[in-house]
Amino acid sequence: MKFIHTADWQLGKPFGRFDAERRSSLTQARFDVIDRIGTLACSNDARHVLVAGDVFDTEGPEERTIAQAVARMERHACCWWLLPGNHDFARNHGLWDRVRKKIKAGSAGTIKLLTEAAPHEIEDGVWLLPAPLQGRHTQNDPTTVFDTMATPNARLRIGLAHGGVTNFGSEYDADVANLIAPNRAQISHLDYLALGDWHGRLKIDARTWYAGTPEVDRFHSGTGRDEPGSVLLVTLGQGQSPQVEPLQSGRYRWVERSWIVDGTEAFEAELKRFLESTEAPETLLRLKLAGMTDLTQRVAITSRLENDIAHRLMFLDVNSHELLGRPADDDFVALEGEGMLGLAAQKLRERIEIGGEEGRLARKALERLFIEFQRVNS
Amino acid sequence: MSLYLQKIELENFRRFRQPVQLDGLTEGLNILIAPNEAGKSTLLEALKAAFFVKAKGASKQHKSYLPYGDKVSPSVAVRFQFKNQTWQIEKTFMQGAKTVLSGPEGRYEGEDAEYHLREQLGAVAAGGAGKKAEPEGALGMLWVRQAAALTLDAPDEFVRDKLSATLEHEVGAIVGGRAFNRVKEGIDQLSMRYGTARSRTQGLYPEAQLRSDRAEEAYKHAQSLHYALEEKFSELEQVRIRLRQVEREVNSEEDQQKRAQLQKDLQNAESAVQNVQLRRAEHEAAQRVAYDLGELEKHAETLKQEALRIEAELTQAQAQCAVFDEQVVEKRVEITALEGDLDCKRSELRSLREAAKNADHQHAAANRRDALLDAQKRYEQLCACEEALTKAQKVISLMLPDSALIALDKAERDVANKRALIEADAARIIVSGDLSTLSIDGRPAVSGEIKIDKIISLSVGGAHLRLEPSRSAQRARFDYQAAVDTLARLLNEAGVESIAEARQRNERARQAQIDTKHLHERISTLCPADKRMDLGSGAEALKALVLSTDFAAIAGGGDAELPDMEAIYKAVEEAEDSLSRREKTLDLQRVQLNELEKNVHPVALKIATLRAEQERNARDKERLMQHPDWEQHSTKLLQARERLAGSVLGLRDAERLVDISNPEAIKIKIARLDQYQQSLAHQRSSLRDELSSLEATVAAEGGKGLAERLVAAEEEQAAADEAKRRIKDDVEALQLLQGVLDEARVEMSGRFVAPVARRAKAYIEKILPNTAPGFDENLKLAHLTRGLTAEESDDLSKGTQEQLAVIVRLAFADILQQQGQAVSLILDDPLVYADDARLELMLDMLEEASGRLQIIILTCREHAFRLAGGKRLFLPLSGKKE
Repeated sequence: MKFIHTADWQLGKPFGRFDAERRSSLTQARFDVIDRIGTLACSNDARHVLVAGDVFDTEGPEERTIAQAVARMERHACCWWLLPGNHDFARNHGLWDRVRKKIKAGSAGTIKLLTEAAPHEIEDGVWLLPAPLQGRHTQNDPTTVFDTMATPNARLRIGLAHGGVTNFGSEYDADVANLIAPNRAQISHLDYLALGDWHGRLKIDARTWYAGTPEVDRFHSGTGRDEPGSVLLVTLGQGQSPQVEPLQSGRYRWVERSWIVDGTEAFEAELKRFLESTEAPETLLRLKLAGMTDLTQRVAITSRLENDIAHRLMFLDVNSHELLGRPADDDFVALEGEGMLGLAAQKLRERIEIGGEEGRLARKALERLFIEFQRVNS
Repeated sequence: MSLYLQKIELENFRRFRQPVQLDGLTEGLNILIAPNEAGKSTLLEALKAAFFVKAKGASKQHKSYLPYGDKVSPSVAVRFQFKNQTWQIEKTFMQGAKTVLSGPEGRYEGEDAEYHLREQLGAVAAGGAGKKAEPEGALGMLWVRQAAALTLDAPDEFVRDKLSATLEHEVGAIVGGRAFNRVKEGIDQLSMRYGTARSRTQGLYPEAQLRSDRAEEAYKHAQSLHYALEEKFSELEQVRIRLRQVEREVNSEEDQQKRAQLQKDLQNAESAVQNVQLRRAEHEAAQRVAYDLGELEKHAETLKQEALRIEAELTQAQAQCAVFDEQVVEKRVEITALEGDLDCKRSELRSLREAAKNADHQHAAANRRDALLDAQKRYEQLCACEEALTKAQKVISLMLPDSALIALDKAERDVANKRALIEADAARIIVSGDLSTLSIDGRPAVSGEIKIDKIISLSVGGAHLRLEPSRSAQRARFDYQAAVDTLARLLNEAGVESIAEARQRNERARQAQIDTKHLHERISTLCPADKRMDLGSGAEALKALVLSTDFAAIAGGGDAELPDMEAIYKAVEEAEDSLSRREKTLDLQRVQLNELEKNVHPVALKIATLRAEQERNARDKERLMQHPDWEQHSTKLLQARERLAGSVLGLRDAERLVDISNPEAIKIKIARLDQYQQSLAHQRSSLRDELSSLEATVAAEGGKGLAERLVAAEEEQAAADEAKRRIKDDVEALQLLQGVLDEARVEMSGRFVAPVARRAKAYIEKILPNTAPGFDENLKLAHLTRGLTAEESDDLSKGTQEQLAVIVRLAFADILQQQGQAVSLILDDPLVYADDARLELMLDMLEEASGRLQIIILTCREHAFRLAGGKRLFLPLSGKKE
């Protein structure tokens, strides 16, 4: 028995920090990934797609978001099992009622909304045990209900839940609530527990997996987290260990890099290496630069990034505060020869020495002075 | 002494059409005294023209050199010493313009001459381009035009550059002016592009601020919408929960059971109440039976007692009554005797009175007869009186009234008077003789006197004499006749013959009146009233009585003897006395009887009452005996009392049961329960309403995608804030840089302004002790500091400003001279605003300075400068061009 395990589509995520063009692309990509999942399901003979929560980014998405999602799903001949997560929890007259109204009868695909904690026999002897979230915060383990679900003549029992098995760390905003027993599969005699909430792919044990998001939506410093999003193709057999195969589904890579450079040469080397390793137009890069270089080179580096690389990439965010550009001696000689400018540079350097917030500003001001001086001289 | 002007020659220059020259200037202080309009300013203008203005050209300035209305060529020539060498510059303007510079190294002409002059003196020759402010270099600043030029302006750029060359040497710093300015300009432009927090609209920062503000507003809006929806959701949930609760409570089995239980309790309680009522009735019945029996017994006893009492009382009363009866009987016997006696006496009296009455009648009849007889006599008298009265009346009726008498008297007197008159007037004829033939009025005459008071006819013989009286005699005769007629008429009217008769008649009448009166009196005394005959007073009554009385009958009786009245009355009186005495005795006896009977009455009453009581008692007793319970009533009473005790206990038990389960309380509980159910039903219905309304709202609002919008707005806000922060950071860095650049410039300026200030201070202190000058970076004297207070130079008095302007120029001159520049100081009409003391100080200062440089003062005020040293020269100029 094969199915696709996916989660955390976060449809309707606004990407408000991006400009309009990028925002639109990123939003589009989240809808496109549904089509890709549908295609993957069909091409892999998987009749079911299990979405383990957070299909939508909020409980109150725009109509268009819902309509797009439903329309995309309906054109693939598979059954979509949608579980309410903490972002799109189930409540009366809430999101899922709206989704239900959008679903058209007789479309290619079937959309099943798992808003109730009731088991479904999805195939002969294959039971799906959903643990939908009924609120944003649920203090109890939502999967405890599995123990009360009757699955007569069960050949396979598949759990579907949303929440953490552990607090994933401060950077990740997982609620301490919705914590799921890490050994839930074992406790509830599940053949597979499909989890959502954690945006990276994660194997808890042989039968417990987080699928991760199929289309990445944020930067993450974790190892392997800068790959494009994926879904899991799960093959289950009675009394067998599940076979879990990740399939890439995402388009964009969200990459975080931190380079220490001491001049243009080192910077260019890093840059070359990076560009070779990625599809620039589909890469979002958050770059942190550190090191010490002279002002001329620093200016060259930042201008290369701003005027060239930023346009090649899908998105670039540079933090160069820690790339300290100090004017070379020659620079200073030139400046000092200019009387008042030399005096001003001297004063700024004195402030940099003092440090603190003013020191930082003074460094920035000095760099600006230097850039302007070069511009005047050139 | 770097520059020493020795001689100046002019021709065709403005007011100086004729060639003039100023010679004999000394190296030190020169005071050129000239009255107004003598050409001082023209002289200074000519000097400036010689040194700073290129000869070629036809600018406005060039043209201004021409004398008014002439087309000539203005020329000026100056001989001067520079670095101990003698030079001469000659310039001709307009037509035939030329420049000739003669120096120790030779002679230059035209542009060459201009170039060398500039090289030597640092003067900048102005082109003919007509720029507004021509830089004239150090000399330009030091050769100061009249008053207006003596202001505290900054030296021009050229001078500043010159000065800074010197100053740089002193301060050892380099002023990177050009690069600095361009960098600063770039920074300023950048800063403009960014804008500041203060500039509201333009620039990146205000835009970022605006974006941030809008984002915040949008976020707040989205948030409020979202929260409102969430609120609705939570309300919806609460309503749903509440509805569930209410429905649970509506169908609550517990309540239903409770109600059933209460219903049962109520039935029990109600039967308990009925039981109490039953018991109470029983109790009351037993009470009544016992009471009735008790009463019966009590009644029997009472009756018995009463009978005994009545019996006793009756016996006593009857005894008393017997005694009283006896007394009464005795008294009655006495009274009966008395009454018999009294009756005898009364009949006796009656007969006596009858006798008396008869006697009275007899007396009365006798009296009447007497009276009638008397009346008859008086009647006769009355008739006589009335007859006399009638006669008198007749006499009285003839009486004349007084007025008639008076009129008669008057007429009689009148006749007499008239007669007298006739006699007085009448002619008389005395007749005598034979009178036979004489007849008078037909009658024979008689002798005597004949009065002719009327026509008298005499006939004598056949003669007839007619004698007519006189007219007046005729009138008197007439009057007399009239009076006689009147008298006759009056007498006739009165019915008398004469007045005497009239008087007599009246006298008789009066007598008759008196008689009449007396007759009336007499009649009234004759006719008194007399009761005996029922006669009223008055004549008529009497007449009537007499006429109606049959006197014949009366005359018949009369002489029978009349009884003795006195004796009769005495007998009557005695009988009355006797009767009265007896009556009184009888009364007394009756009173006594009454008293006795009074004693008897109450006793009799009491006996009657007692008898009645006795009867009633007997009846009561009989009735009692007939009472159904009478038979064996004592036994019955005992039994009833036992039953009563039993019923009390039963009642108490029943009442206790009611106290425990009060049906009213239970009913209230049931009503409350029902009420609660009703309110639940009501709540349920209103909650269902609310629920559907909320569901509708949520369905409508939920479709708007508020949560997604909120997240979007939140992210936009964060992004806007981040962008703003970055731009703000840039702006702050730029502002810092601008500040630092300004600081650097000020500091650098300070460094090279310092020497100027230092030099100027030495001079300034002479006129303004303890005052430090402050120069700005353009070397303009910007302010003065006295003690702790600083004063803007523009705020100083005009005089002080002027003085300071001179001083600043002295300081500049010192510095330039030290640098080897050509300097000399020319002041056109200076210090006009200075008071005497300041003027003296300033002159001292100038005199002292003239030891180092040539100073020329052009003035019209000879007197003011009388104490100044130096050489004095005078205008108008004399002498001719050599």
